[in-house]
Order: sequence, then C-alpha cells, then structure tokens
Amino acid sequence: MLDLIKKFTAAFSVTGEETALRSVIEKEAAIYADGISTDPMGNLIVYKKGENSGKKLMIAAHMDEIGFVVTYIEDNGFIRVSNLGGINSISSSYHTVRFNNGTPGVLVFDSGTKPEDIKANKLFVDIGARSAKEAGKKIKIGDTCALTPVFQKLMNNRFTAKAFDDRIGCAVALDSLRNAKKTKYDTYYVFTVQEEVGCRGSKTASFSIMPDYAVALDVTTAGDVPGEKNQPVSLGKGAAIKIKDNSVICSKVIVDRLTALAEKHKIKYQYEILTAGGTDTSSMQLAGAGCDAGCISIPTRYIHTPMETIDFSDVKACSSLLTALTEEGME
Amino acid sequence: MDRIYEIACELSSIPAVSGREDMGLHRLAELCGDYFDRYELTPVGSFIGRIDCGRIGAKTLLFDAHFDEVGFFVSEICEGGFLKVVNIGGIDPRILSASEVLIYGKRTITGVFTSKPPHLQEPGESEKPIKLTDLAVDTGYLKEQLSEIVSIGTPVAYKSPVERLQGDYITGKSFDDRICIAAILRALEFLKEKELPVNIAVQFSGGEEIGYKGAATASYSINPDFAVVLDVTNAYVPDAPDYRKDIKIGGGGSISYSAKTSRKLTDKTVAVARKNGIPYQLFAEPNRTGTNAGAVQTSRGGIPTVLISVPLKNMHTANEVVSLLDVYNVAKLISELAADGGIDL
Repeated sequence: MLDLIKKFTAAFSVTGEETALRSVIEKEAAIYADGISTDPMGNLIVYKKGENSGKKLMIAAHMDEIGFVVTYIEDNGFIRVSNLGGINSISSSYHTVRFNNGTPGVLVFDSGTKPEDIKANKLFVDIGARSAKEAGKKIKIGDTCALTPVFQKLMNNRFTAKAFDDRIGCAVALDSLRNAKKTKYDTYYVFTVQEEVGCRGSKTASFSIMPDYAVALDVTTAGDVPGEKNQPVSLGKGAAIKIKDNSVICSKVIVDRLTALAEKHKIKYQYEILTAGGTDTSSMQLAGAGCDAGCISIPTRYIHTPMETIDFSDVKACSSLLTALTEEGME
Repeated sequence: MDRIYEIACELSSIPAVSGREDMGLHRLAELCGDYFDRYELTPVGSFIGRIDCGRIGAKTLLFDAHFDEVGFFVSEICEGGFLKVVNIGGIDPRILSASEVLIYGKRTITGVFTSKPPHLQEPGESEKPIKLTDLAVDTGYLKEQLSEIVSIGTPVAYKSPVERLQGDYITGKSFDDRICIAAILRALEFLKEKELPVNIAVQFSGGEEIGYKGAATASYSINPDFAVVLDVTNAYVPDAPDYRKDIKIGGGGSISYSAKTSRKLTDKTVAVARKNGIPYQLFAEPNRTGTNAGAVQTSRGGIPTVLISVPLKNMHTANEVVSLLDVYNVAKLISELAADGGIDL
C-alpha cells in the first residue's frame, strides 16, 4: 500500500482541481473495477459488482486537499492568494508551494504581521518574479497552488506527509479494492471532490448512487500529543470507528457492525468522537430518503499542516476493516 | 386537555438523543402506530406514518414534529466512575451541575453531574461561566464495572418526570418537541371519524437538533404537496429580548411569517384559526426559524410549508414549561386545517 500512498501524496489535487490525482487513481483502480466513470462534478466512481445486487454500498474518500487560489498579482510580482478550505495560515507559511502548472514558489506573510493577525489575507506567494508582467507569464488569477509534497519515514513505521488528509483514505479504499476477494453488495468506491469546502462532491455522487449503506474514509485528530485534551484517539491504537463529528452522528447499525467485524477479525480499533470538522459521511447519510452511514477514520496528528503524521499499522487496520465490511456486508 | 397530558407524559419519558433515535423509535411506534394506516422507520431516525383519505388523486398534507431531544454522548470513561461527555445539540452547561441524568448503556443507569461546592471554590469562582469539559457525570461505579456497561458513544439524557404546575401548565423534559407530537396525535384523534379531503402523512423526525436531518430525508421520502411544521418557541420571560414580548404562554400557537415558509399557506392557516375561533399569535422570523421548516420547504422541488410553534419556557433544559391549553389549540388548528378542503395552492 505504501506505493499508493507515495504516488497519491505526490499528485496535485487542490479542491476544485482534482484532475491529476484522479487519473493516477483511475489507472490504479481500472483492473479491479467492473465499471469506472467520472461524474459532472469530477468524482471518480469505481464500481464493483456484488454477489447480492439488491443492495448498494458506497465508500467515499476525498481526493481534494486544502490549498490556495490566486486573487491578484501585485505590481512588484508578488502573488496574493485566498484560501480554499480550512487553512492553518501559520503552519502553511514559510513553506514552498507548487502551482497547478508546476511553477514553484514560497508562501510567506506580510513582514511584521503579529502572530494573532496571520490570516489568509496576509499571505502571498513569491515565485521569484520581478514584476507583475513577469509573474503573469507563469500565473494568472484563478490558478491554484498547494504546499510542495513532503514524504518522510519516521520511527516505528510512522510517516509524515502533506495531504494525508485524505490521500491516506484514498489509499485505504484502493488497497481494500485490490484485496477484496468479493463484494457482498454492489459496491461503489467513490473518490470525491471538494470535500474541504463543504462535502460537495459526495452530495451529488450519493444522490446519483442512492446507497443503502455508506462508509467514508477520512483522517481524524489524534489526541496523543502535547497540548491536546479531551480527544481519546491515539496513533497506533488501530482503526478509529467514528461515533460523531461536527457534521454527522454515525448510524448505530454501522458503528455496531464495524465493531463486530473488528472483534471477529481481531483488527485493532478505537472509537472516535470529534467535536469539530466534518466528513463526507454526512452528505451520504442524507442523500434522498437517507441511508445508514458511518466512517472509518485514520488517526492523524497535525491535520491541515504540511506535516500530517500517521502510523502505518493503523492504516493497515483501516484497510482490513473496510475489506471485512465489503466482503461480509451488514450481517 | 387531560388526554394531551396523558400523551405528553408517555412521549416525554421515551429517550431519543439526536442521532440515536433508534433507542426510542420502537417505543414511539408502539405508542402511535395504531393512528396510521401504515408506518415505517427510517435510517435517519424518523417515524413516518400515513393515513389515506381514499380519494383518487388526493393531495398529501404533511405534519412534521421532531422526535429527537438534546443530550450527551459519553466521550471518556474515567477513574473513580466518572464519565466525560460531549453535548449533542445546544445545551447551556450552567444548568447541569448536580442534575440527574440517565445513561443508556448495556443497561440504563443513573448518574449525577458533578458540582464544586461553595466551600471548595476560589473567591469569585462562582461568577465565572462553567464549561461542559469542567464537569463529569458521577455514577458511583468502579471504572472496570462502568466499562462493562458503557462505551464511548453511549447516549446520556436528562432525567425528569412530567409534573403539573398551576392551571394548565406542565413541566418536564423533551417537550421540545414531543409536545408537538402530542398535538399531532391529538389532532388525528379529532379527525378520526371524519372524511378527509387530503391524505395525511406524519413525520416524527430525527436529528433536528443536529441539523434538521430526519426532516430533510423523510420529507424527500414522503414527497408531500404541503407541510405543517410544528416546533416550540421561546415564550416571553422577564430577561428575554423585547421583540419576544408578544409570545405568550396561553396565547395559542405562534404562527410564523418567514422567508423559510409559504406566505400563502400561512395566510390560509391564520384564516382557518379565525374562522374557527381558535386562539393564535403571530411572530415574524425574517430568515432562519431554527426549525425543520427550511429543510422541508427545500425538499425535492419545494414544498409550501407553514410553521406553528407552541410557546415554551426553559428550552433545552430538564424542566421545559408549556401550557396544555396551547397544545390543545394547536391540535385543534391543524385538525381544522386538514379538514378544510380549501388548501389549494
């Protein structure tokens, strides 16, 4: 699975501009799929026929990541940007960025800005240009950029990278698709767009699929670091079965089924309660007349910074748990 | 009104913390299933009941009231038998200290929110607002025993019986919005022997307190032609803002004029109230109503919706206060609205 994780985190995929990552995933998924399509929003829908075609299971992992969009270019060639999604302006700044056309730059903030005033409107990108004209040859208003990919192995099979949120979810979905010997229901592995700006891709995808059951794969905050409180999830303690986040209360039948499967297959798991943040789980639960929806979360430290950190054993646990659900279904 | 009191007592005692309505949905179905020709329970925690009028091509009128209640989920099991909890829905932590709750684990146990007595407080501490993270629920169990009964995610709800106060006032938990379920059931009793000009669909929806979730999905499933949303509204109390002065307990249902509702259907409702001499009051909510009205109105291709609210004091506490007379008048109003063949938009 590491091969997938490396490829996915290296690809460009800012909210609203997920094309590059989509082709990477499509290539990897094609040989395992019974059908593959891209919908008008840009969601990649990988279909696998089930043994029991009466029911539909939808799995969602989002392809997009937070980033920046160019708002205007100053006379001296500095590029002003606005945020796409919930940017942590402090941790993103003084870091290199890469534009959709490959142009590199550095993201910095106005000199002399007090720490409490560091907001997206103080940020600018320096691509080395000496004038607006020169910058305009490479960059135009509306172009997007993201932090430059980082991928670093740490001790204990832990890894740090940019955009594990949610490339790690995409990798889990694809790894599980590769490993599943069969799927009980007609299963739709959906790689969604625009999650970071309000779960928009999963809204339309779940409306067209109208699933009976739905499971999202996303990262969740690990609370086992200095300064975190009231957050019981830890790195290395297994797949996190979501109870709730700020957008959803997961259906009890899904929570109970994932718990039972984890117990049965001796997959390490923990429960997750997140009091902030949302996931594609919510939009899937509310599609049409509604469905049973839940989420398998990958415990992650330092979310929405360039150094998101995970434990590979958790990632494998998440993949095994998802495979157990796709193979064995709800009963 | 004794009948409404009876229904209210039964409904109030059913636990249904938002997102975990399944804990009480079957009891709700047992209680009210007989009112309907057919009913179903949805994945998003709603009860949907239908009464067919038997007329070919008849339109469908929807009554909505939400079934879920504010409460808590266990977030941590601590040494000494304490539980940390997170709130589900809007709860003011200042009302919690030293109050009783029920913990719906493998079996149901009682707990009490911790409270720091005056003797142990620093000078001035009681002036400061308390946060939910400062409190814990004390159960009296050892941690090991407690872990057998509850887990992270176990729902916790207020413990509070319904009591009669003076006149027709009653107090209890979850009147937001069970009292409106009581109004709908009473209205269906009024309509029982009558021939109806419309089909009636009822949704006792889940997830209102966490974003109108059950209402959005159930009304998609029902696909009605028009809808009546019933909820509670804050009645005037001495420290409330002036603009709420005219929302009075005992004044009848509060009919809302809002961008989230249909003016035509609202006018019609007012006309029906006037025609039948049913007391009502008016309230203007320019945009947000904080109820299911918006979710129902924007379901599918759009559903003309009217919002009627029962005035209530102490919202989202274990001792919400309403007047049985108001509930009766709301029941009367919606039954007359359904019986009136003239809803045609």
